Amino acid sequence: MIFHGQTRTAVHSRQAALGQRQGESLQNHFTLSAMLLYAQLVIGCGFVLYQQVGTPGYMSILLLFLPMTGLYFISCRLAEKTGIREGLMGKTADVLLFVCLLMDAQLSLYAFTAIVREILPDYNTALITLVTLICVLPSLHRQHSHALPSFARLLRYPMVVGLGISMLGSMRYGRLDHLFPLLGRGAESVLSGAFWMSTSLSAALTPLLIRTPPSGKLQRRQGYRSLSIGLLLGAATALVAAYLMPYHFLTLPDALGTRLLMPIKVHPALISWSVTVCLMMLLMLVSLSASLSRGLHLLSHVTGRPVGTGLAFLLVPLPALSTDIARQIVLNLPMIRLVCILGTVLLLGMGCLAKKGRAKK
Amino acid sequence: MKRLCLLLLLCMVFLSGCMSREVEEQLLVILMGVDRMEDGNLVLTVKVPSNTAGDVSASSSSEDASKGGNQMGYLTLSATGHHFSDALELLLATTPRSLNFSQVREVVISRQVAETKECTLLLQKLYSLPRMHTQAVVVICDGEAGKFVEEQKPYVGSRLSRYIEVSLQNYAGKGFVPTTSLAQAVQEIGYGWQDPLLILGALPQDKEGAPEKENVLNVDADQLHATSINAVKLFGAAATDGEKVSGTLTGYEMALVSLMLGQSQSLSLWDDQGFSLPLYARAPATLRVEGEEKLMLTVSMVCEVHYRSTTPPDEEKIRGRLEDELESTLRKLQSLRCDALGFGGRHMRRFATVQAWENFNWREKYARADVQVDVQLRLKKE
Amino acid sequence: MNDKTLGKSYEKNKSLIENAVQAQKNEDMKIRPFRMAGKQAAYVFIDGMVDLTRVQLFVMDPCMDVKELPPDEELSDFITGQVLRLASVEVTTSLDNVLMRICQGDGALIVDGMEGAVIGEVKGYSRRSIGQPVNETVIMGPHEGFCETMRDNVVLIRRLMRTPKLISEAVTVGDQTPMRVSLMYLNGVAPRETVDEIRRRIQGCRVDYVSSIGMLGQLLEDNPYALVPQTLITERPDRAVSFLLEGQVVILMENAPLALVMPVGLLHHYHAPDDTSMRWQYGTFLRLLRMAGMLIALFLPAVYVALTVFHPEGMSLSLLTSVLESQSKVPLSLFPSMLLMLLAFSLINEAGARVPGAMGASLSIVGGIILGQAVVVADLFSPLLIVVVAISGLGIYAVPSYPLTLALRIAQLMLVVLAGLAGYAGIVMGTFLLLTRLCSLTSLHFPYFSPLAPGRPANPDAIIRMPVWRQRLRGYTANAFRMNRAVGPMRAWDKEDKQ
Repeated sequence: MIFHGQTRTAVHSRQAALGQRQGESLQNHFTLSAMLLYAQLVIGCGFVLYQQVGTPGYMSILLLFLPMTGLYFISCRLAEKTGIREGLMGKTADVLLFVCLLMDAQLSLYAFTAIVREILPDYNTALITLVTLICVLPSLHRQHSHALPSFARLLRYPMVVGLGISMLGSMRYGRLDHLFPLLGRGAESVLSGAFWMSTSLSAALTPLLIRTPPSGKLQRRQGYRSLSIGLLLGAATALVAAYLMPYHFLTLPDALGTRLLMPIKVHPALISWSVTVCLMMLLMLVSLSASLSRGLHLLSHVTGRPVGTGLAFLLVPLPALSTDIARQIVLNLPMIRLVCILGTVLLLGMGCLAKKGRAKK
Repeated sequence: MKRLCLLLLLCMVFLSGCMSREVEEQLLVILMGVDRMEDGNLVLTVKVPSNTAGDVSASSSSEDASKGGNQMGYLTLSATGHHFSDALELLLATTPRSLNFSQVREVVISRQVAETKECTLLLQKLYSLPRMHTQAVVVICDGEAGKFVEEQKPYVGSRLSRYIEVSLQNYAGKGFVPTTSLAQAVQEIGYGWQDPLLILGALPQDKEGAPEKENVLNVDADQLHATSINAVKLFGAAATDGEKVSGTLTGYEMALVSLMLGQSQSLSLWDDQGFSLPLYARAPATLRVEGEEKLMLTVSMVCEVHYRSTTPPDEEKIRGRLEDELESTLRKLQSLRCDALGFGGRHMRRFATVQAWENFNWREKYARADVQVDVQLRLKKE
Repeated sequence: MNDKTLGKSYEKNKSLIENAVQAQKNEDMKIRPFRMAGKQAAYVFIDGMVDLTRVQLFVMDPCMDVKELPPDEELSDFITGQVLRLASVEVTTSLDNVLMRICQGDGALIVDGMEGAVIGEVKGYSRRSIGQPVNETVIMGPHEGFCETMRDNVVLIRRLMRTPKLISEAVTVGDQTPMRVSLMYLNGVAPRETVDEIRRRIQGCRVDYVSSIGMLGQLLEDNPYALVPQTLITERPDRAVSFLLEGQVVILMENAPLALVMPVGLLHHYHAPDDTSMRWQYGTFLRLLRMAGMLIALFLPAVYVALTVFHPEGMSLSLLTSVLESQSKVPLSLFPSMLLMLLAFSLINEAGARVPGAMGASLSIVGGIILGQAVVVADLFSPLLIVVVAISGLGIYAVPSYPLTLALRIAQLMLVVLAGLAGYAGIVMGTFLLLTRLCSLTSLHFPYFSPLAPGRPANPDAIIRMPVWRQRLRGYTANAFRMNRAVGPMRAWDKEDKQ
C-alpha cells in the first residue's frame, strides 16, 4: 500500500519524503510492540509473578532491562543482514519465532476470556473464545496489515490516561508498608520471576518481524525508547499492585481473571472499575491480534504463500478452552518461549556468519 | 463484511444469557448480618430494597415509609444453616429473585461469632461472594445481628444506603468509629502488619439516671446515655488479635486511636470547669520500635490545644493527662493483642524477606513490649 | 465520413442531426434553416435552453448579413472569426459532441460546404440564483451556497480564490448521458498523483447516467462497504476553497448544488465550517464539545445498557435505585426498550427531514408530547431511558457532517446490541472492530485517520484548533514539497510574537 501524504517537515526530495513516512510507520510498529510487551508483562504478573514472587514483582520486571536491550540490538543487527532468512536456518528461526508468538497469542486470549469470565461469570467459555477470535479476524487480513500499528498509535495516549485514572483511583487505599519486606520470599524468587518474565520479551525482536528494520542510530533509539516505556509501564503496574495489597494477598491462589482485576476488586472506585476492566480487555485484544498477525506473516514468509487464519482458529484457543492445557502451558511456558527466542537469535546469527563465510570465499 | 456478519450471528447465541439479567429481577443487598444461635446454627440475614416504589406493606417500618414522597420499602430476609455456606444456599434458594451483593454497605457480625476463630473464615467467605462490594464496612454488634439489621432504617432521607454512608462519615470524622472495610479487614487480619479495628454497634435500651462514668464518651456502644432517632448505635471499636475479636474499645479510646492514626484531626477535652478544649493533631503519630528481644514501642505526637479563656490552661496537666490516656489505650490494645496502630508494619521494614519476618514472632513480642508515649503540646488562644 | 462524423454536405449533416435528435418527435428541438450569402445553413438548438435574443443578435443577424463567403476550406475560420459575435465558439466534426453540446444548451450552426458544425455558447435556460446554504449554516462566515449550475459554482470558487494556479479541468461521466464534471485543484499544492488518480477513477466509471454528486462519490470512494464516508460533500464555496488550499480536489457536477471533496479523513467530517472564523479559544472549546458529543452519542446508550443489565457494581447505588424504580414499572426490559427508543428517535429525525414545512409543527407535537411525555406517563418506557437517548441524540446533532451522523447512528445501534448481549466485553469488542476498521480505511490511498494514525503531524488543527498563526503548514493531503503556508512569522507586525 502506497501512502501519499505529508511528512513532519517540508522535504525537498521524494526520497526524503519516503524515508520519513517509513520512519513514521516504523514508530507505529514499535508502539504496537510496546503494547504487546506491556500486555505480556501484565499477563505474566497475573499468571505467575504475583504468586511466585509477590511484592517485589516490579523488581523482576526491572531486571529485564538488560536482556531486553541485548535482544533488541542483536535483532536490529540481524534484521539488517538481508538474505540470512532465506536458507534453512533462517526458515527454522522463523518457525521458532512463530511458536513464540503463537504462545503470546494463546496467553492473550486466555487472559481475555479470564477477564470476561470474571465480569460475566454465566457465559460459556467456548463461546467467548470463538467470538473473540472472530472479532480479531478482520485485523488479520493481509491488506489491513497497517491497521494495527495505526490503531496502536491512536490508542497510546488514551491508554496511558486510562491507566493513570485506574491507578490513581485506587492509590489512596494503598500503603507504603505493603511494599515490605522488600525482597519478599528472597532474592532467588525475584531472580526466578525475572527468568520467567524474560520469556515475554518477544516484542524486543520487533526488528525481525517488520519489513523495514530500523537503520539509523536515531531510529534504533526511538524503537528502544518505545519498548522501554512498555517495560516501565509493566513495572509501574506491578508496583502499584504491590502498593495496594500486602504480600499475602498478592500471593493468594486465585483464577487469572480475579488476579488481573484484583486491585480494583480490593479497592473499587466506580469510574476506575469501568476504565480498568475495559482497558484490560482492549489491551488483551490488541496483544492477541498483534501476535497473531505477526505470527501468520512469519509463517507466510516461511511457506512462501499466504497462510490462512484457520490455523489460528485451531491452535490459539486451546488453553482458553481447556484448563489442563492451560496448566501445562504455564508449567512449560518459560522453557518453550526461551528456547524459541534464543533459538531464533542463534540460528539467524549462524546464518549471518555462514553468509559472511560464503561471501569471503 | 461477511466475517462481521458471522460475528454478529454468533453473538446472537449470547442472547440466552441476557434475558434473566434485568436489574429489576435482582435484589440488591444493602445490609448483611450473621448470627450464631444458641443451638449452634448460623443465621444469615439480609436487607434489600423492595423494587416497587411506595411498597409500604413490605416495609419493616411502615410509619416511616409512609412519610415523605417516594420512599422505597425494605425487606428483611433470613435463613438458618449449620455453616455460612448452608445458610447462604438456603437463602438463595428461597428468595424469589437472585441476590446481588455488589451494593452491600454494611456487614454485621454478632459478637458471639466474632469472638471465635470462625471470624476470619467468615470474613474471607464474605469477601469471596460473587461481585461482593468489598468496601462494605464491618460492624460487630452486641446482641443479635439480625435484629440490628432489621432496625437499620433510613431515618433521614429515603435511602438506607445513603443514610448509612453519611452516618459513618459523620462518626468516623469525629473518630469514634474506625473505617475498616471488608477488604481491609480480610487483608490485614492475621498477618501482623496491622490488626484491623472493626466498628462496634449495639441496640441499647434507653438509659435512665446519670451516666456512670466521668467521661460520657468513654463507654461502649451499648452503654451510651443518648436517645436519638436511631435505635442502632455505632460507637467504639472491636479489636482483633489476628484471628478473632479479642475485646472492645470505648468510643473515647477509639477517638484517641483515630487521632494517632491520623484518621481524625481533633478531639474534645474538657478542663476542670467543664469548658471545652479542642485538641488538634495535624499529623498522625510517629511510631518507633526499638530493641530486639524486648521491644520498646514509642508513640510521638505533636498536638495543639485551643482555649478561649483569659488564663491559659495548665499545659503540663493536659499533657500528662493526654499521655496517660494514650498509654492506657495502647496498653489495652496490647492486652487485647491488637496492633491497631501498625507497629508491626513499621518494624517489618527492617526485614528483607518474609521468612525472616515470620521467624521473628512479632505477636508475642508485641504483647510483652514496653510502651512509651511522648506528646508535644502547644497551647493556642483562639 | 461515417455516421458519427459531420461532413461538408448540408443535406447530409441536417439529415444526420434530424435523425439523431428525432426532430419529428421532439417538438422543442428546433432546426432553423436560412441562407447565408446564398448558401444553405441551419441553426440547431433546443427551445428553452438557449437565450433567443443572443441567438438572434449574435448568430442569426450576422449570418444573414454576410454578403460574400470565402472558399469552403476557409469557411469555418471565417464564420468563427468574423461572423459570429459569441465569446465562446468551437468547430467540431463529431456528431456526438454536437448532440451533447446541444443538449447542454448550446446551439450548432451547419453551413453547406463547411466541414462539421460550429458550436456557440448561447445558454439561456432558467436557473436558481445563488442562495444561502441550507444544511451548513454558520454563525460567523459567508452565506453563499452552491447552486445547480456548474458554471456558477466554478465562478463562486474562482471569486474566492483569484489565482491562475487554480485549475478547473473538465471531464465527463456517464456513458449514455454524459454529465459534465469539473475537477478543481491548486496546481502545485495538490499532489499530481491525487489528481491523476481521481481522473482515472472518473474515467473508469462504467455507468449510463450519474444522477447526483452523491452517486459519483460512491463510485469513486476506496471502500464502498465501510460505514463511514471517504468523501465529503459541502454546500459552501468557502469550505471548498479551504480544502483546495489543503491540496484536496474539489469535484463539481452539473445539476448538483454540492461539491465533492477528495481525499478526506475522519477529522474533516468533524470540523465545522466556521471553526477557523472564530478565535482559537472558542474554536477549541466548540471542537472539544463536539468531540465529547460524538463520544457520548456513540457510547452512552451502550454503557447505560451494559452497566444496568450486566455490571450494576459499576454504578452508584443512588443511580441504580433510580433505574430500579423507573424500570420496575415498564413492561419491556431495558435492552429492547433502548433499541426501540433509538429507532423511534431516528424515525423522528427522518420524518422531520421529509415532512413538508406546513406540517413541521405537527411533527413536534407528535415527537415531543406523544413520544416523550405520553410514553412515560403510560409507563411504556422509563424516563431515564428517554433522557439517555435524548442526550445521545444531542451529541449526534453536534456533528457537522450529515453522513457522519448517520454512520454514528448505525455504530451506536451496533454497540447497543453488543452491550445488550455481552456487557462491557461486547462494547470493547465492538470498539476494537470499529477502530481497527477505521484505521484500515483509506481515502484515495491516504490513511483515513490521518493525521492521528499513522502520524502525519502538520497543522495543529486536528482535534483542537490552535491559533491561526501557528498553522504554518498545510494538511497531510497536500504536496509534500509545498507544505509551508507562510515564510517567517505570520504576525510579522508583532515584534514580541514568539512563533
